[in-house]
This record gives sequence, structure tokens and C-alpha cells, in this order.
Amino acid sequence: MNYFKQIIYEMKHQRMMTWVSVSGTALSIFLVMAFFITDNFSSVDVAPETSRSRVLLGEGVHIKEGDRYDSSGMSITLKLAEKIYTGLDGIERISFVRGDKSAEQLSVAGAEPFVADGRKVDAEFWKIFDFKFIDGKPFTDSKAAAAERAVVLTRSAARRLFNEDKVAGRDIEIRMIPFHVVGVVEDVSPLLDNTYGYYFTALDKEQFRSTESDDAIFGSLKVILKMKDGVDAAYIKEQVKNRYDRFGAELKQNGKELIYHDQPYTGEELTLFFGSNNSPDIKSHNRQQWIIYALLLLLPAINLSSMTRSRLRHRVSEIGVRRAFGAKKVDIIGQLLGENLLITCMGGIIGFLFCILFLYLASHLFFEMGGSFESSLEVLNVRPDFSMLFRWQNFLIAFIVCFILNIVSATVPAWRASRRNPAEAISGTH
Amino acid sequence: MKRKLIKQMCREWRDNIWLILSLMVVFTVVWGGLWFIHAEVYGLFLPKGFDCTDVYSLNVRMIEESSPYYEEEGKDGESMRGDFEVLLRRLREHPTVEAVMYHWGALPYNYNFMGNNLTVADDTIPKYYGNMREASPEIVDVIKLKSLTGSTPAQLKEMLRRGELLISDNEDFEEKGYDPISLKGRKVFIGSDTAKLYRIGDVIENVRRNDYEPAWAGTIIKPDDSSWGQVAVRVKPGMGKKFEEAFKDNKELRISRNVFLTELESMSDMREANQRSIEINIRQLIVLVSFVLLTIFLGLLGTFWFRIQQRVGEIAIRKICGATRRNILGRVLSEGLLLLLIAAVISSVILWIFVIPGLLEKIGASESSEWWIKTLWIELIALGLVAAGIVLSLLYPAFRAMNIEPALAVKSE
Repeated sequence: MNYFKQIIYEMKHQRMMTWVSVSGTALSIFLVMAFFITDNFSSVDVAPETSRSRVLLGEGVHIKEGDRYDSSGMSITLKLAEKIYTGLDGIERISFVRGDKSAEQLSVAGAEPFVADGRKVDAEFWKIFDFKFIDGKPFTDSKAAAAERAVVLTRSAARRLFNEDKVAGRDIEIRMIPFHVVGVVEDVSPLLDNTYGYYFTALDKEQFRSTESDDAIFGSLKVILKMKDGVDAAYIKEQVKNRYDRFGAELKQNGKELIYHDQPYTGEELTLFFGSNNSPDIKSHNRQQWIIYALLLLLPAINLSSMTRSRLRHRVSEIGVRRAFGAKKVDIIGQLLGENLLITCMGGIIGFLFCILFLYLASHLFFEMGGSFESSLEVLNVRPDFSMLFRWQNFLIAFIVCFILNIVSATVPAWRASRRNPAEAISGTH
Repeated sequence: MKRKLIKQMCREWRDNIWLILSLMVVFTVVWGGLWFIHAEVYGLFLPKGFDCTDVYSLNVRMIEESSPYYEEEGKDGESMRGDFEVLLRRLREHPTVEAVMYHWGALPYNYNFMGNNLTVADDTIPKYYGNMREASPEIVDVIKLKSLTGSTPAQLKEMLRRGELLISDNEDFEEKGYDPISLKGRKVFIGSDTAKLYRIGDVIENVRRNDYEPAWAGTIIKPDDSSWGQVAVRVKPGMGKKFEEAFKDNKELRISRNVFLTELESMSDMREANQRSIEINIRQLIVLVSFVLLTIFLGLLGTFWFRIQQRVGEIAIRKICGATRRNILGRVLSEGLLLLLIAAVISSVILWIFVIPGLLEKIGASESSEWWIKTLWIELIALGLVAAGIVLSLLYPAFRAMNIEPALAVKSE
């Protein structure tokens, strides 16, 4: 108890110092956490993408023909997608989806038409992701659903068209073609790039097969893979690389070279916007992030350290008395670090809360978030859900950051203070 | 005085080394931040060659056969083109509309780049390289192209109607010693298609891809009648909202048999979306620079606060011996600024030897004396900013020192 009393006394006595230390720490935690949290939006599990660490995206093909031809694209043909991604060991489910979200006009008699992003997905898509159905259910047979023009709407789309949520069984028009609503799901955040959309229509593989030419490579499909629990992405990548090598050997006979770019991609890799003719460089991204974290932590730590050193000079006599009465060096260091940790944590809490508020209100203005290259303004202006911000992992990291900041800024001054000779310290000859 | 200051600073060498280290980092980050901000924003101050205020973009779509609205009579290509012309006419006649063009990817605020070479027939002039924008002649009015030779918009449109090309100023071409204006009236072919020759109608201001990215090739405007996947509409000033409402309410403006216009988007929204990534970079750099400045502000404020508290006795004696308030202020400020000077000199040596040459080479400006001078200026501005931060942070502790009552301070000692 005395311990806390002393800390509070010190803080009251040195108001200026307390204010400077707390605000410096708050600023540092604010920025470190802002970078950390936004960097992790790509891997946070949030409905309907509740197992993102197990989901990989198979896309991208890059072909070269000497200096004459160099072409690449994100979407591939069904034939190639099946050749590369079906039957892989360690995969629980595989879904084929159209590569791009297409913006189409949605309309219904009596309501104003509007343009919204939609997806074409197969029945497996609904089993990989955890959509919450408010009404109706997902389609289970892609071919039949495509034939009867089934569509699943999000809550927002249903409200905009019908002013109500439960609209399964009703009819709408997409690009002036009638569709039948089979289900309504909860809205999906644009931050979830595999599932975001306002409506979902059925993808019929047979239809694609009949329209694709045999030797085509660039198509309009992507593959979503859900790994079995405990399987490592590297294991899947290795198998896919072998398939690329095999297919590459076939192409080589025609003088073409197939270049493998680390497919299939994790959510983290996909945020790097590397294009279809490059490999995601996660190492360099991580290195860059570590430099930012180090800078944001070290700079305040150096300043806090020199302030702590100055502050401890005022307490030399007190430390001398305590040492003279038998306090061990470890006790002195422990107390000084504890005191400092309390100030750091105060700053940490303030910085963390401001960070959450800031990210909720303005993260889209300071961090690249929802959507991919050339997304619409609506997608770019997305706000993260509170569930993405208030995660126990974020609190834990914030505390660890405070602890590191404390250790870096206070250990040396505390250690030096504890080494003073008690007699010299009391007499003031320091 | 100076010797005493240095002696005193040497006595506190441990604290000062930390301060110098942190000032070195601060100075480097502020310099780097300002340098990158400058590299991102200098394009804003260059002419961009277009004006997209009050411009809207639309996509052209066809009703599919499976739609109940599909009309059999309008299914052949000629009928579709006819229906498209009907839509264009309705838009042009609308009271809110000033000009209408059709095109495919010719508007700014997207990252399309259709690199094409123009070769002057029967001459050895180097090839002219530029981004080709294919559109109907009304592009002149919709995005307001500007002639560099004084031609009026009506004259530019007439040239495009005659099938002539418009080209822009072009840094690369000029560096090779040729003026694009000298190509006016010359016959050129595009790429390797020597069979078709085009006359260069006029030279215009380079149409950049957005407000930030400087032009890195020329612009070629080619009249094109076959690309009508997109439409752009310039509305009369201040009539944007009225046009949006009219487009929503009036089906006649949107659809003619099997052809319909959709995805109405204002160019100001497209601009914001297109430049978001660049603006985020700039904002992050500004935050970083502000952060380090604020950190050093707080750090120095705290450290000098204690230093002044420790030196109460010394300051009191100096005051008794005749030091004025100004002397005391000068002493505190010189200590901070001297620390910055040491940090800046060490950082500069490292930066100019190891960092700056590589940086300039990376942006292809290692031989540009303009960039070397700019870099030096940016360094001086960074030095000024950090110095201002230091002075601000030291003012409060310095005022405390100036207000020390000598008699009381010495008595308490």
C-alpha cells in the first residue's frame, strides 16, 4: 500500500513530469497499436470469415515467352483451376468463385434501382464461410440454383429494395434479368475481401466449361481453399508449386514459361497488392513493420529514459537511506521499475483507448484498408467493426508494448540509481 | 561563456549522448519524412492538363437476351449503335448538361496506361512515346483540354473530327532535343502500323493520370468512333445534384431499347478513390514527422525541466553576479540548439554519404542538380523545424530559470 502511496505522491509532486511521461507514452502506444491493429485486419476472425487462418486463395497466372510475350492475370480458367487446386492433401473444402466482384444494377418494381457489388459463387462457398442467414437458406446445388437464377441478398440490399429484411421467395432484377431471392444474410464488411458483396448469385461450372476454350489459361475464376485444422499453408503451397511445375512442363513444349508466384495466398499476403506478375514479399513487409514499431517505441523510450534518469537524481538521498537500512539493489530496481510501469500503463491505457476511437472514426484516412486496387469510394471508406478492434489480443499486445517501453526506458536509470554508494547518496556527494 | 557551456555539457555527457542520439533519429526521420512528402506532392503544383470538376462517368451496358426487357428489333450492332446515339442526344439536350463524350478508359483518375509510339513518316526524328487516350472529339470540352499553341476548343474538336491526333508536351522527347510543337502538321504512324498515317493536329498540355503523379510520358488523344463502352458528361457549373436526380428519375436518359447507361459516378468521387492510397502515404508521413517532433518536444521539456531544477543554485549565483534574464534564456536555448547541431552534423554526414545518393538514384534523379539542391533545402527545413521544436520545448523550463529569485534560491541551498 505504501508503495502505491509513494507513487501517487511522486506523481502529484512532479506534476509536470508525470504529464510529460504519460502523454509521451500514450502517443507511442497510440501509434504502435494503430499500426498493429490495422495490419492485422487481414487475419482477424470475424463473421462470416471466422477461420481466416485456414483459408487460402488460389489465383494468378504469369506466362512468359522470351522477350516477346509477358502476360499475367489474377483470374484463371476453370480447367486450370481444377488442374492446380483439386485433390490437394490437407484441404477440407474447395470453392470456385468468379474472380471479380461485379457492380450491377439491382432493381425491383416500385423501388429506385441502385448499383451494388455482387459475387458469383458455388454451393461450397456457403460451407467455407459462416454467413448468418436472417431469412431463407443458401443454395446447395450450384447448377440448379444457376438455372433458376437464385440470389442471396445481404440485409442492406434487401432493405434498399423492399424496405424489409425477410424477403426470401420474392423476385428482383439484376442487370434487368429476373432473379429469385432464396436467402438473406447479415451484411459483410468490405474489409473481408473473400466474402464482401451485396448479393450472391450461383456459379454453374458446366456453363464455364462450355464457354472456355481448351487451351485458354486466363479466365474469370478464383479458388477458395479451406485447409484442414492444423495444416500449414506452406504444405499446401508446396503441393501447388509441384502442380505448377507439372503444368509448366506442358507449356514449355509450346515455348512458354509458366512462372510460379507462391500461390495460393494467405489473407495477410493478399493485402500487399503485389499484382499477378510478382510474388508477395511478406518478409520485406514484416521488416518494414518492425522498423516502424522500433522507431515508434525506441524514440519515446530514449526520451523517457533521460527523463527517468533526471527524476531519479532527486531521489538519490531516499534511495541511499533505503539502501542503508538494508534494501537490496534488486528491491530498489524492482520498485523503480514498478513505479515506472504504473506511469507507462496509465499512458498505455489512454493511448490505447484513443487508438480504438481513432481507428473506428478515421482509420480509412490513414491506413489502406478495404478492397483491392482501384476500389470504389464506398469500399475505401469502410469503418472497422468494434469486434475487430476490441479483441483480447490487442489488449495483450498493448500491455506487452507498455512493458517493453518500461523496460527499455527505466532499466538503465534504475540500475544506476541502485548502484550508488549509500553513504555518498545520503551525504549528497553525487 | 561558450567554454563554460561546453564544460557543463561535458559534465552531463551521459544524458547528452542519449539526447544527441535521439535528436539524430528525430532529425533523420523529419528530413526523410519531408523528402518523401515532397516527392509525393510536388506534382500537385504542376499543370495537370485537364479539369474534371462537374464531370460524371457512366458505363454503357446491353440488356441480355434472357431479360424480359430485351427487344428483338434492337439486337443487331447497327440498332444498338443507333440506340446509343439516341441516349447521347438525350443527354446532350438535357438542360443541366454542357458536353457529352464517349470513350473507353480515356478519363483521368485511373491507372490505365496505353503506351504507344508515334513515328514521323519519312524522317529520323526519335519516336514520340505517350499514353493514348481514345475518345470522341467532345473530350476537348468534357475534360477541357488546353492547346499550347493557342487553338480554340472548337478548333481542337474540329481537328479530332477530321481524324487528326493531338499530342502533348513530353519531357523525354524534349530532352532528346526536339520540341513536340515541331510535330504539328506532320504525318505519323502508330506503333508498327505503317499503313495508316495520322496528321498531328495540335499540341496540348499533358493530361496526367491524377493530381499527384507527374507526367512521365506524353499524351496522345486519338479520335475513336468504335470505343463506346463509357460515357462522360460535363454538367453546367453547380448543376451536379440536379443532373444526378434527373438521371435517377428519368428513364429516358438511362435506357433506349437494349442499350442502357449505368454506374453514374462523379469524377470527384473517382478522384478521391484513385488518390486515396497516395494521400494515405502523405498523411502517414505527416503523422510520423509530427510524432517525432512531439516526442522530442516532450523529451526535452522533461529533461531540461529537471536540469533547471538541479541548477537552481548555480542560476541564482549567476543572477547575483549580474546575469540578465536574457543571458539565462540564451544559455538554456544554446544548450539545446548545440545538441541539435552536433546531432545534425553527424546525421548529415551519414545521410549524404550513405543514403541520399541511393535515394536519388532510385527515383532516377541522381544526375538532376535540381533534386540535389531540393534535397539540401529539405535538410535545412528539417533542421529549422527540429530547432523550432527544441526552442518551444525549452521555453517553459527557461522561463522557470529566468524567474528564479536569487536570494531565496541561494538561501535554500
